[in-house]
Amino acid sequence: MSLLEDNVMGEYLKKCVRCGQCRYVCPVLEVAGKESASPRGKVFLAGLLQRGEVKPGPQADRILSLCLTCGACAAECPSGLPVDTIIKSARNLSASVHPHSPHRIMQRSLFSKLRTLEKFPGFMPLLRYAMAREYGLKPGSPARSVLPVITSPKRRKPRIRVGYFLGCATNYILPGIARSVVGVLTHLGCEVVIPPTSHCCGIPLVTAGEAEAAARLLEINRRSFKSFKLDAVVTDCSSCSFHLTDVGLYSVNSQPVYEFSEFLVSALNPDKPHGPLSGAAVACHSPCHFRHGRKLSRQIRQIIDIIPGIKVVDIPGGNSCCGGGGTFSLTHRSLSDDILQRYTGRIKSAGIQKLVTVCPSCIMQISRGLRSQEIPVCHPAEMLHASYRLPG
Amino acid sequence: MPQIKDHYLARAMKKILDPSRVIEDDLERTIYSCDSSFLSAQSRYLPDIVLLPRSTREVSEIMIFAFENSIPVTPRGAGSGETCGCVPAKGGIVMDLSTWNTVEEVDAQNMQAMVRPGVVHSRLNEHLGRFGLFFPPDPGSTRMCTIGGMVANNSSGMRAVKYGTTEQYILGLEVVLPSGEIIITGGKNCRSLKNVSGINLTKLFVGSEGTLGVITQIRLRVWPRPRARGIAMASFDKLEQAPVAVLDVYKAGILPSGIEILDQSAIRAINLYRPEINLPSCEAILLFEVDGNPASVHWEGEQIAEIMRKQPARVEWSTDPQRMAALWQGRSVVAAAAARLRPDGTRVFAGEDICIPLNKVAESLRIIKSLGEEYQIQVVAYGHIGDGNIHTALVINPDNPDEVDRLGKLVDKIHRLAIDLGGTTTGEHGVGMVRSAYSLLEHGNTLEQMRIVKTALDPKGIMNPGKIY
Repeated sequence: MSLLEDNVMGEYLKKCVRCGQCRYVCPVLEVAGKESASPRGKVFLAGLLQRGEVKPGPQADRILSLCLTCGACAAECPSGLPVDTIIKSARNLSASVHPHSPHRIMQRSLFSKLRTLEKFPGFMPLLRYAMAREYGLKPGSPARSVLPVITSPKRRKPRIRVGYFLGCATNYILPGIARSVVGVLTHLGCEVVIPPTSHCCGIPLVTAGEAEAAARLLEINRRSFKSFKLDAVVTDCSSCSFHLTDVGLYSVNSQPVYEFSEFLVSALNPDKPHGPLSGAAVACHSPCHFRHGRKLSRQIRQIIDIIPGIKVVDIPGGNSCCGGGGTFSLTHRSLSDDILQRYTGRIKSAGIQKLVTVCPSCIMQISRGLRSQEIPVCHPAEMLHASYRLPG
Repeated sequence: MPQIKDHYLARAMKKILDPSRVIEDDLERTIYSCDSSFLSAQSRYLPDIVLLPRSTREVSEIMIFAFENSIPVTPRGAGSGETCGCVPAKGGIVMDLSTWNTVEEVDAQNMQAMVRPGVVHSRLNEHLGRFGLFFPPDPGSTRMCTIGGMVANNSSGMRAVKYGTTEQYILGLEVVLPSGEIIITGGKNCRSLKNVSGINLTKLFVGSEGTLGVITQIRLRVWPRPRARGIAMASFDKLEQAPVAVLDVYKAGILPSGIEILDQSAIRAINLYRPEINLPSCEAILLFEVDGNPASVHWEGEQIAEIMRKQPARVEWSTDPQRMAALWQGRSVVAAAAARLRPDGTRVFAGEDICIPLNKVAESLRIIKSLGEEYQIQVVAYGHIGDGNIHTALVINPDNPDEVDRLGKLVDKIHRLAIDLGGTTTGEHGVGMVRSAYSLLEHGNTLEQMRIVKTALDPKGIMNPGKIY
């Protein structure tokens, strides 16, 4: 949901009965333990800000920042409140009063100007250094620099023309996912278009309450996709899919911006891959924006199920938030680590040998937690790519 | 009321607790000024400091300091109460016990468990499920309320018909008294299931709403988990038929584990919240839950269905776990989902917990409906009709002062009606601040005896002042 206008937010806030049911599902509250970290506490604060009872400022920002915007609270709320959107809108309220604080300028600049920054000679080496240190990853060249704008199937006429929304994390940090997505989609008969001028989807900015900067990116992205005639738009990232579906990117017949596994299951009906992979015990992690945002559920599992030789196992206690939350893992490292460790503890206890998920941010975060156990975390496109025995 | 400067208080508390568990920040303290009650939405009751203790020793040291300095102390669980019970009416210390949430021991051989006050009810039952056990009281707020809060308010919920209220499952308590002294009720080393030795202080603390001491550990009686469950849903064209049908089930010698009523508005609210539950449109629905062994559940289900059809009512009988979970969840969230009935309004928790003698339930429902019309406030009625505990959700626009004024008058009428009909203003939520005005009316000179007991344990009046008495 887009950020809320002041009067709309007021109507929603009125409906919160402070029952506390959101406390049950909030990953941040579970580790932080205090009421201000609960969704109810932040909605209460949003009400104080909205009515002018308290002034926006660093104190309010600090409390409002204690949210991963995972959306579990909104899915749980009996009053039907978009709790995560209320929190993001409250951040926007604060951002509009203090737009020039250093961290806001840095955040705006980073996500608004990524495409410019990538041309800066020191950008990729710096990114590689940071990623190697943080996640043990060594990103190669950005996916955009190695993938063509249009890739057509080799031996047959395309059955469908697909726009591929290439998100930032995939492009810069996990470019192998992008190669696999393009490889699998073309193998299944799609012509894949990566609009060269598309940008960050804007979700990091919306999450930070930077509504105006996010709106500018949306316009850029709309123009980028409108210049191609497309049957559908697909992305490998459930957060991009959630946000762009929510705000309405270029879409055909009100289709969503498909998440990769959703698109395969609903539109392509993929044939069974012939190459069996090793019989590892694989578990599927459903990211928060996949479950609560897009309200998808079994699509990842359905894709993995068709791969021969795989034994799919459940994560004990089910799926949880990994604690990544975009920049949350950087700004609240200790809380993020606590959430991550609780989750990876369950993954480790089940003898899981590989984890599959559809969010690059989750891949990075969970990889960090499972690095010492050498349990790899990958995207289903990569597994399909390997199973189809595709080149590259 | 604090006799000392705030910064001195904070410094002293940081000597007892890790500083990360001492909250001084203005805004964070403001967030602790509310629970679910409408009163706490309208007024601000700020604590001077919020503490998150995680051991009995820490609680005791805090109480010693508070006692010496006459600082009010208000214990708090998940803050899901509806009475301002955990809101610091006189400032001072709020003790947030919700993070102290360990199940210390499940003594399956002796059918009991030792838990800390912050354990969430549904998580306790998940844990006990591994042992084939359960803690029977089943509040609608199962996913948020804490066991400590349940004990302090003597909560019950949807299965009280058969299993009773929380007090019946409390074998003993560890309590820190206002002076800081630690006591254990129910026998200091006792693991028996019955104990009539001495005055039953356990029952004194259960339902005392944090006004006598801080509960730091609870010894719970747990039961074997029933092998089977089933739900019969009966839908009625006339609301008045439902209470009669409940009495007919009792007359047939059947004791369901839960009997819940939903009126027309409650049905609509649930269908708006979860359309997939798809409740039939009618004036009232009764949900009968039966549990036990598979054969008895099947027999009782059939008997109830037969009785309902004679009313006449339409009946759906289900033992499908998914359908049962959906129906039970729909019922448990109607409290908050009632807000969906009015786009510009919200459900307020006020006058929401009356308990009426069974033979007066039909009359009370009819009067409350007409009171709602008189004061032009939408009333959503639902609740535990099996024990006469009716929840009345009032839906208003809180920004409209006239509606708020009418709400106050309607709530007063509802409370007085309950007492006039031989019932009580509160069946399971408690008194707190919002119903203390009716304590004298309900208890007469017995209230003075309650005050004497309170003063004996809390001579300085520092434990949760401004509540009940």
